[in-house]
Order: sequence, then structure tokens, then C-alpha cells
Amino acid sequence: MTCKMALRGIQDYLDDGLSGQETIEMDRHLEDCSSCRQALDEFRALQQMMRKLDRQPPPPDLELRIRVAASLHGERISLKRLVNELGDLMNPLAIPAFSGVFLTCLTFIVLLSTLFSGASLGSGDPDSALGLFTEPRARSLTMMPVVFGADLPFVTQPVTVKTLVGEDGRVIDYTVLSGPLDERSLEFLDRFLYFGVNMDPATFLGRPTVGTFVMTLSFYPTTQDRIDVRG
Amino acid sequence: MLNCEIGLDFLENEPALVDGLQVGSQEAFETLVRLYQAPIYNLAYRILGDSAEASEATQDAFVRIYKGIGRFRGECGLKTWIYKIAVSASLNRRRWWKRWKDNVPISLDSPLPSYGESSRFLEVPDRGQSPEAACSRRETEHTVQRALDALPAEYRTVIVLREIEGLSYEEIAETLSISMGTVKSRLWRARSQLRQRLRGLID
Ligand SMILES: [Zn+2]
Repeated sequence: MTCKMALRGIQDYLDDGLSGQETIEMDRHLEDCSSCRQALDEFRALQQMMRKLDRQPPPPDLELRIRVAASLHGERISLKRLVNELGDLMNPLAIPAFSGVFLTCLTFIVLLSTLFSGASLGSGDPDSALGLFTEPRARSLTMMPVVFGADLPFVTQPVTVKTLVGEDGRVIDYTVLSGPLDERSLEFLDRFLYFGVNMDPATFLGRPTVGTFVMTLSFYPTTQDRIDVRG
Repeated sequence: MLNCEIGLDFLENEPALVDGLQVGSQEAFETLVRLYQAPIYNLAYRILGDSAEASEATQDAFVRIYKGIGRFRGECGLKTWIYKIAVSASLNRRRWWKRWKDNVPISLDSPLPSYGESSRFLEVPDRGQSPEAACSRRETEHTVQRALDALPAEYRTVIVLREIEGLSYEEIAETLSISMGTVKSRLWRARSQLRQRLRGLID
């Protein structure tokens, strides 16, 4: 076997594509020819190096993003079910695990400030004073990807709403205390509050119960590739 | 096969999965996403060399799969079909992305592109190695990715499918709709160029 033939066979050798006879001839040539041997060693080292590369783990939110993206292209995946799961992603423990969520045209940074909570039930209620009643709490609303079609305008000014939060932590009803009241803004708030918000419900004697929660929201649509989550 | 996480049980269930996908079953699509998001993301990452772009490409690929599954006729396997879509989504993304980011086509003789932005995505998970080992692993990783990135797209795709995804020549030929001869010659060119570029590492 000549060096030229040997070099031509290296790739098959690497990919286990040589016949028994060809392998024997190749081995014989390699024994005598240090330059072909070196070439094979280098190709083999390259192959090993590439095969040992770590698989890049996908970002933790990718699966959800895929499903959101797919849902926007058909009705087959229920939007409502997806937004339920967004609530899980918003679990405060989950946030440090990924520092960028990217849903083009879909992501809003929501700044939330709690003015007071349990307003109607809490303050004057003797149960609250005795510590039997706990008020609803926002799990984490500092950054909330909300699933909206790109067609829906968003609310640009801060809105203060009083929400009635059910035993399951979902908003049952709300009233706008201050902020825009036109139909489109309300449509936006409907979607956000009914689908995008997930809270820890109020409790009475340790059992979830209905409570009220007042918050101020500011929405910032983002067109950046990522949002850094702080705090 | 290197990509052993696409396990046997999946292959056994493939007809059921395809049926489910074609009648629009949400569960089937979710199963598909769970099975393939990691391999597709990894493939896209190696082709694109950037984590954010790879996420986008993976998303694009699944949307195309979602919309196109009705047209899947099973002439090739589901895996090949999915890889075909994933490669094309990645290359598309790359064309678009390169045009905006660099505005310069990558030629064989050009120096390795620099990766200010993407290098921070190349962190590899700590597997309990010493900091030195982890560090040198990262460096290797970075250098290999840069070398891959400097290859012409058609060579890079072939070698990624072969060495990183573990596809056979036949599967690569089917995935890329090229002949076996072309697979072999592109693979050989990719290997030869990588050998030159990575000589420092493989000594
Ligand atoms: Zn020789």
C-alpha cells in the first residue's frame, strides 16, 4: 500500500468503513510509515475531541418557549394551559436558574408594587388581627412573560388594580383603581390578570381561601434579546 | 450511536407518536418536544456557535415541524425528517444572523472570528472536576467551536452531524439531501481543515 492509498483510507478507518482485508493492509502500512501513522493519530485525536464535547444543555425555558411559539401557529395547543405553566416558571426559585427569557413581542417586564393587600377583608377583620387569616401574596411578578398576540396593544401607563384572588391563586375579578379604562386597555388587563398572574392565595386557618390583593403594574415591552433578572 | 438519549423506547413508539402528531395531539407534540429539544438545540448550537441563536433556531424548527407534520409521509424516518428541518432552520438563521452581525462572508483563509459576545455562553457544566480541568475543558470547547465556526457551513454541518450527533453516512446523506460521495468528501475536507486549525490541541 502506498501513502496516497493509506491517506485515502484514513477516513474509512476512522468511521469503521474498511473491510477486514483493507484493515490488515492499512495496519501493515501504518506499522512501517511514521508519517501516515502520525496523520491517523491526529485525525483520531480530533475525532475523540469532538465526540467528547459536552452537549450544550438547552436553556430551562426553551421547552415552554417552543410550545408558546407553536401555539401561536395553530389552535391545537391550548393557550390557557400554557399560561398556567408560565406561573410555575415564575416561581421565585426558578428565576435565578435562567437569566433571560425571550419571547419576541410577547414579553413584558412587569414592575409590581404592593400598596396594600387584603384591603377589604384584612384590615378591619378580627381574624386577621388574631393571625388566623393570611393575605394573598404575589409569588413573583417582577418579570412576567405574558402570552399575547402581537396585535394587542399594551398599557403604557401604570395601573393600580384591586384583585380578588381565588383559592387556587388565580385572579377571579378585578377593578381598576387608577389607570386607563378604555376597552383595549381592559382587554389587555383581562388577559394579563386572568392568565398571567399566579399568587399564593390567602389562607384562613391554614386553608386557602379567597382574598383581595392590590397592586400597581407597569408594563415595559421588550425588544431585546434578553432580560436580566435582578433581585 | 452517540446520541443515545434518543432511546429505544422512542423508536418503538415512533409510529404511535407520528400518528398522534398527525391528528394534532397535544401530548404527541409535547412528547416530541421533550425528546428532541435537547438534541436539536445542541445541533443548532454547534452550527451557530451562539446560545441565543441556537434557541431561536430550535424554536423555528419546532414551529416548522408543528406546521409540517401533516405532510410527513414517512419516506424517511422521523428522526431524519426532524434533523433535516433543524439543519435548515439553523442554516437559515445563520445566514440571516451573519448578514447582520458581520456583513462579511467567512472565507477559508480568514482568521478565526472573534467571539466577544458568545463566549460567555460556552460555559460547560461543572462535573466535579478541579477548577483547572474545568478551565482547560472550557478552553478546548471554545477553541473547537471557533474552529468549527470557521469552516464553510456545508462542511461544518456534515462534521457536526457525524461526530457530535453520531449520524451515519446514510443518515447524513438523507438529512442533507446529498449523495454519499458528497458526504464523504465534505467530511474529509472538514476533518482536514479542523486538523490544521486544531493542531495545537491534538498534539
Ligand atoms: Zn505512509
